[in-house]
Amino acid sequence: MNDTDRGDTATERAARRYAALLRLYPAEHRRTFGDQMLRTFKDQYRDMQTQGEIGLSFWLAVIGDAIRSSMKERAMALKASRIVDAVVVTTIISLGNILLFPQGIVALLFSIFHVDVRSWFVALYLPQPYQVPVCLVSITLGLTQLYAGWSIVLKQCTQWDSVGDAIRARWQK
Amino acid sequence: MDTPMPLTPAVFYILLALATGERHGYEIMKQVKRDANGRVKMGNGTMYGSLKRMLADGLITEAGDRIDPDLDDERRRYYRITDAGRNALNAEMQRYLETAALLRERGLIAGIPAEGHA
Repeated sequence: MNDTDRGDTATERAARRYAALLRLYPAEHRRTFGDQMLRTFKDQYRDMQTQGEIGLSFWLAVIGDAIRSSMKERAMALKASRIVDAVVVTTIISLGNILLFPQGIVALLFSIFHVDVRSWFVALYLPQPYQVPVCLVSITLGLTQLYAGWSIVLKQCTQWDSVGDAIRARWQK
Repeated sequence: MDTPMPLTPAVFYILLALATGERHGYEIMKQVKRDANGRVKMGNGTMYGSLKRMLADGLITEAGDRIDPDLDDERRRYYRITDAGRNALNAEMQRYLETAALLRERGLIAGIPAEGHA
Protein backbone atom coordinates (compact mmCIF):
# COMPACT_ATOMS: atom_id res chain seq x y z
CA MET A 1 0.00 0.00 0.00
CA ASN A 2 1.51 3.38 -1.01
CA ASP A 3 1.18 6.76 0.81
CA THR A 4 -1.73 7.91 -1.37
CA ASP A 5 -3.72 4.74 -0.65
CA ARG A 6 -2.96 5.02 3.08
CA GLY A 7 -4.09 8.68 3.01
CA ASP A 8 -7.33 7.80 1.21
CA THR A 9 -8.07 5.03 3.70
CA ALA A 10 -7.48 7.40 6.63
CA THR A 11 -9.72 10.01 4.99
CA GLU A 12 -12.50 7.46 4.50
CA ARG A 13 -12.17 6.32 8.11
CA ALA A 14 -12.32 9.93 9.33
CA ALA A 15 -15.29 10.58 7.02
CA ARG A 16 -17.17 7.67 8.62
CA ARG A 17 -16.58 9.22 12.05
CA TYR A 18 -17.75 12.60 10.79
CA ALA A 19 -20.83 11.00 9.20
CA ALA A 20 -21.71 9.68 12.67
CA LEU A 21 -21.39 13.23 14.06
CA LEU A 22 -23.81 14.47 11.39
CA ARG A 23 -26.55 12.51 13.18
CA LEU A 24 -26.53 15.33 15.76
CA TYR A 25 -28.18 17.64 13.21
CA PRO A 26 -31.92 17.76 12.51
CA ALA A 27 -33.03 15.38 9.74
CA GLU A 28 -34.06 18.20 7.38
CA HIS A 29 -30.64 19.88 7.75
CA ARG A 30 -28.90 16.53 7.11
CA ARG A 31 -30.99 15.89 4.01
CA THR A 32 -30.15 19.33 2.54
CA PHE A 33 -26.52 19.76 3.59
CA GLY A 34 -25.31 16.34 4.86
CA ASP A 35 -23.58 15.27 1.63
CA GLN A 36 -21.96 18.68 1.14
CA MET A 37 -20.77 18.78 4.75
CA LEU A 38 -19.21 15.34 4.38
CA ARG A 39 -17.56 16.35 1.07
CA THR A 40 -16.17 19.54 2.64
CA PHE A 41 -14.95 17.60 5.68
CA LYS A 42 -13.05 15.17 3.41
CA ASP A 43 -11.45 18.10 1.53
CA GLN A 44 -10.44 19.69 4.83
CA TYR A 45 -9.15 16.42 6.31
CA ARG A 46 -7.06 15.63 3.23
CA ASP A 47 -5.57 19.13 3.27
CA MET A 48 -4.78 19.03 6.98
CA GLN A 49 -3.31 15.55 6.61
CA THR A 50 -0.96 16.80 3.89
CA GLN A 51 0.16 19.57 6.24
CA GLY A 52 0.53 17.08 9.10
CA GLU A 53 -2.04 18.90 11.23
CA ILE A 54 -4.33 15.99 12.08
CA GLY A 55 -4.33 15.36 15.79
CA LEU A 56 -6.33 15.68 18.97
CA SER A 57 -6.82 19.44 18.57
CA PHE A 58 -8.26 18.92 15.06
CA TRP A 59 -10.82 16.40 16.31
CA LEU A 60 -11.68 18.50 19.37
CA ALA A 61 -12.37 21.46 17.06
CA VAL A 62 -14.49 19.29 14.73
CA ILE A 63 -16.52 17.78 17.59
CA GLY A 64 -16.93 21.18 19.31
CA ASP A 65 -18.15 22.77 16.10
CA ALA A 66 -20.56 19.89 15.43
CA ILE A 67 -22.05 20.08 18.93
CA ARG A 68 -22.38 23.89 18.89
CA SER A 69 -23.81 24.19 15.41
CA SER A 70 -26.15 21.17 15.70
CA MET A 71 -27.61 22.59 18.93
CA LYS A 72 -28.21 25.88 17.12
CA GLU A 73 -29.87 24.11 14.18
CA ARG A 74 -32.04 22.05 16.53
CA ALA A 75 -33.09 25.17 18.46
CA MET A 76 -33.99 26.92 15.21
CA ALA A 77 -35.90 23.89 13.92
CA LEU A 78 -37.83 23.76 17.21
CA LYS A 79 -38.60 27.48 16.98
CA ALA A 80 -39.74 27.10 13.37
CA SER A 81 -42.03 24.21 14.29
CA ARG A 82 -43.82 26.51 16.80
CA ILE A 83 -43.82 23.70 19.39
CA VAL A 84 -42.37 26.08 21.99
CA ASP A 85 -45.01 28.72 21.15
CA ALA A 86 -47.77 26.14 21.50
CA VAL A 87 -46.45 24.92 24.88
CA VAL A 88 -46.12 28.48 26.24
CA VAL A 89 -49.60 29.52 25.07
CA THR A 90 -51.21 26.31 26.38
CA THR A 91 -49.52 26.84 29.76
CA ILE A 92 -50.67 30.49 29.95
CA ILE A 93 -54.27 29.59 29.07
CA SER A 94 -54.36 26.58 31.42
CA LEU A 95 -53.00 28.61 34.34
CA GLY A 96 -55.44 31.42 33.48
CA ASN A 97 -58.37 28.98 33.63
CA ILE A 98 -57.21 27.59 37.00
CA LEU A 99 -56.76 31.06 38.50
CA LEU A 100 -60.09 32.34 37.15
CA PHE A 101 -62.39 29.42 37.90
CA PRO A 102 -61.40 27.10 40.79
CA GLN A 103 -59.01 29.46 42.60
CA GLY A 104 -61.05 32.58 41.76
CA ILE A 105 -64.81 32.39 41.12
CA VAL A 106 -65.55 29.06 42.85
CA ALA A 107 -63.42 29.92 45.91
CA LEU A 108 -65.08 33.37 46.05
CA LEU A 109 -68.58 31.82 46.04
CA PHE A 110 -67.57 29.27 48.72
CA SER A 111 -66.14 32.09 50.83
CA ILE A 112 -69.21 34.34 50.44
CA PHE A 113 -71.71 31.54 51.17
CA HIS A 114 -69.51 30.02 53.93
CA VAL A 115 -69.39 26.60 52.32
CA ASP A 116 -67.35 24.41 54.64
CA VAL A 117 -65.11 22.91 51.96
CA ARG A 118 -61.48 23.90 51.52
CA SER A 119 -60.22 21.14 49.24
CA TRP A 120 -57.47 22.66 47.03
CA PHE A 121 -58.95 26.20 47.04
CA VAL A 122 -55.88 28.11 48.30
CA ALA A 123 -57.77 31.26 49.37
CA LEU A 124 -60.03 29.28 51.74
CA TYR A 125 -57.03 28.29 53.90
CA LEU A 126 -56.47 31.98 54.72
CA PRO A 127 -58.18 33.90 57.56
CA GLN A 128 -61.71 35.02 56.56
CA PRO A 129 -60.87 38.74 55.92
CA TYR A 130 -58.19 37.82 53.36
CA GLN A 131 -60.21 35.27 51.41
CA VAL A 132 -62.28 37.62 49.21
CA PRO A 133 -59.34 39.92 48.25
CA VAL A 134 -57.18 36.92 47.38
CA CYS A 135 -60.00 35.47 45.25
CA LEU A 136 -60.39 38.82 43.46
CA VAL A 137 -56.64 38.98 42.79
CA SER A 138 -56.80 35.42 41.46
CA ILE A 139 -59.73 36.33 39.16
CA THR A 140 -57.85 39.40 37.86
CA LEU A 141 -54.69 37.38 37.20
CA GLY A 142 -56.74 34.64 35.53
CA LEU A 143 -58.52 37.11 33.24
CA THR A 144 -55.19 38.79 32.35
CA GLN A 145 -53.58 35.45 31.48
CA LEU A 146 -56.56 34.33 29.41
CA TYR A 147 -56.56 37.66 27.56
CA ALA A 148 -52.81 37.37 26.88
CA GLY A 149 -53.02 33.70 25.84
CA TRP A 150 -55.98 34.10 23.48
CA SER A 151 -54.51 37.31 22.03
CA ILE A 152 -51.43 35.33 21.02
CA VAL A 153 -53.61 32.59 19.53
CA LEU A 154 -55.70 35.08 17.52
CA LYS A 155 -52.57 36.92 16.38
CA GLN A 156 -51.19 33.62 15.09
CA CYS A 157 -54.52 32.89 13.45
CA THR A 158 -54.26 36.06 11.35
CA GLN A 159 -51.31 34.34 9.70
CA TRP A 160 -53.37 31.24 8.97
CA ASP A 161 -56.06 32.95 6.93
CA SER A 162 -58.63 30.18 6.73
CA VAL A 163 -58.54 29.37 10.46
CA GLY A 164 -58.42 33.08 11.39
CA ASP A 165 -61.36 33.93 9.12
CA ALA A 166 -63.41 31.11 10.60
CA ILE A 167 -62.73 32.21 14.19
CA ARG A 168 -63.27 35.91 13.45
CA ALA A 169 -66.54 35.13 11.63
CA ARG A 170 -67.73 33.12 14.63
CA TRP A 171 -66.82 35.96 17.01
CA GLN A 172 -68.60 38.53 14.86
CA LYS A 173 -71.90 36.54 14.84
CA MET B 1 -33.89 51.93 0.08
CA ASP B 2 -33.37 50.59 3.62
CA THR B 3 -29.77 50.14 4.74
CA PRO B 4 -29.16 46.40 5.27
CA MET B 5 -28.69 45.30 8.88
CA PRO B 6 -25.12 44.84 10.22
CA LEU B 7 -23.74 41.39 9.37
CA THR B 8 -22.33 38.76 11.71
CA PRO B 9 -18.60 38.08 11.21
CA ALA B 10 -19.36 34.67 9.62
CA VAL B 11 -21.83 36.15 7.11
CA PHE B 12 -19.52 39.08 6.34
CA TYR B 13 -16.53 36.85 5.59
CA ILE B 14 -18.58 34.39 3.53
CA LEU B 15 -19.93 37.25 1.40
CA LEU B 16 -16.41 38.63 1.09
CA ALA B 17 -15.16 35.20 -0.05
CA LEU B 18 -17.90 35.00 -2.68
CA ALA B 19 -17.50 38.61 -3.84
CA THR B 20 -14.74 37.61 -6.27
CA GLY B 21 -16.39 34.53 -7.73
CA GLU B 22 -18.31 31.30 -7.20
CA ARG B 23 -16.83 28.92 -4.64
CA HIS B 24 -17.65 25.54 -3.08
CA GLY B 25 -17.73 24.83 0.66
CA TYR B 26 -14.06 24.09 1.31
CA GLU B 27 -12.92 27.00 -0.90
CA ILE B 28 -15.15 29.34 1.13
CA MET B 29 -13.72 27.94 4.38
CA LYS B 30 -10.11 28.45 3.21
CA GLN B 31 -10.80 31.95 1.86
CA VAL B 32 -12.47 33.01 5.13
CA LYS B 33 -9.45 31.74 7.08
CA ARG B 34 -7.10 33.72 4.80
CA ASP B 35 -9.20 36.93 4.79
CA ALA B 36 -9.67 36.94 8.56
CA ASN B 37 -6.02 36.05 9.24
CA GLY B 38 -7.26 33.13 11.32
CA ARG B 39 -9.26 35.42 13.66
CA VAL B 40 -12.60 33.95 12.58
CA LYS B 41 -12.73 30.24 13.37
CA MET B 42 -15.49 28.81 11.21
CA GLY B 43 -15.99 25.06 11.33
CA ASN B 44 -17.89 22.99 8.81
CA GLY B 45 -21.14 22.98 10.81
CA THR B 46 -21.04 26.70 11.51
CA MET B 47 -20.38 27.49 7.86
CA TYR B 48 -23.24 25.37 6.51
CA GLY B 49 -25.60 26.82 9.13
CA SER B 50 -24.66 30.30 7.90
CA LEU B 51 -24.99 29.26 4.24
CA LYS B 52 -28.46 27.88 4.98
CA ARG B 53 -29.64 31.18 6.50
CA MET B 54 -27.94 33.25 3.78
CA LEU B 55 -29.75 31.19 1.12
CA ALA B 56 -33.03 31.79 2.93
CA ASP B 57 -32.30 35.53 3.16
CA GLY B 58 -31.42 35.71 -0.54
CA LEU B 59 -27.84 36.88 0.09
CA ILE B 60 -26.38 33.98 -1.86
CA THR B 61 -27.66 31.41 -4.31
CA GLU B 62 -26.60 27.94 -5.41
CA ALA B 63 -24.59 27.93 -8.62
CA GLY B 64 -24.82 24.24 -9.47
CA ASP B 65 -22.63 21.18 -8.90
CA ARG B 66 -19.37 20.70 -10.75
CA ILE B 67 -15.87 19.26 -10.46
CA ASP B 68 -13.07 21.35 -8.96
CA PRO B 69 -10.13 20.73 -11.32
CA ASP B 70 -7.66 21.50 -8.50
CA LEU B 71 -9.05 18.68 -6.35
CA ASP B 72 -10.42 15.27 -7.33
CA ASP B 73 -13.13 14.26 -9.80
CA GLU B 74 -16.00 14.53 -7.31
CA ARG B 75 -18.71 17.13 -7.90
CA ARG B 76 -19.13 19.94 -5.38
CA ARG B 77 -21.95 22.45 -4.83
CA TYR B 78 -20.90 26.00 -5.73
CA TYR B 79 -22.36 29.18 -4.24
CA ARG B 80 -22.68 32.65 -5.75
CA ILE B 81 -23.33 36.06 -4.16
CA THR B 82 -26.63 37.75 -5.20
CA ASP B 83 -27.31 41.45 -5.77
CA ALA B 84 -28.88 41.60 -2.29
CA GLY B 85 -25.73 39.98 -0.87
CA ARG B 86 -23.51 42.48 -2.67
CA ASN B 87 -25.63 45.37 -1.32
CA ALA B 88 -25.36 43.98 2.21
CA LEU B 89 -21.58 43.57 1.85
CA ASN B 90 -21.17 47.10 0.43
CA ALA B 91 -23.26 48.56 3.26
CA GLU B 92 -21.17 46.70 5.84
CA MET B 93 -17.89 47.87 4.30
CA GLN B 94 -19.27 51.44 4.18
CA ARG B 95 -19.95 51.16 7.93
CA TYR B 96 -16.37 49.99 8.50
CA LEU B 97 -14.98 52.86 6.41
CA GLU B 98 -17.10 55.42 8.27
CA THR B 99 -15.95 53.99 11.61
CA ALA B 100 -12.31 54.05 10.49
CA ALA B 101 -12.71 57.68 9.32
CA LEU B 102 -14.24 58.61 12.70
CA LEU B 103 -11.39 56.92 14.59
CA ARG B 104 -8.84 58.71 12.44
CA GLU B 105 -10.65 62.06 12.90
CA ARG B 106 -10.57 61.66 16.68
CA GLY B 107 -6.99 60.44 16.77
CA LEU B 108 -7.97 57.09 18.23
CA ILE B 109 -5.76 55.06 15.91
CA ALA B 110 -2.40 54.50 17.61
CA GLY B 111 0.42 56.31 15.87
CA ILE B 112 -1.83 58.44 13.65
CA PRO B 113 -2.58 61.97 14.94
CA ALA B 114 -6.13 63.34 14.77
CA GLU B 115 -7.00 65.17 11.56
CA GLY B 116 -6.37 68.90 11.89
CA HIS B 117 -3.80 68.32 14.66
CA ALA B 118 -1.03 66.95 12.45
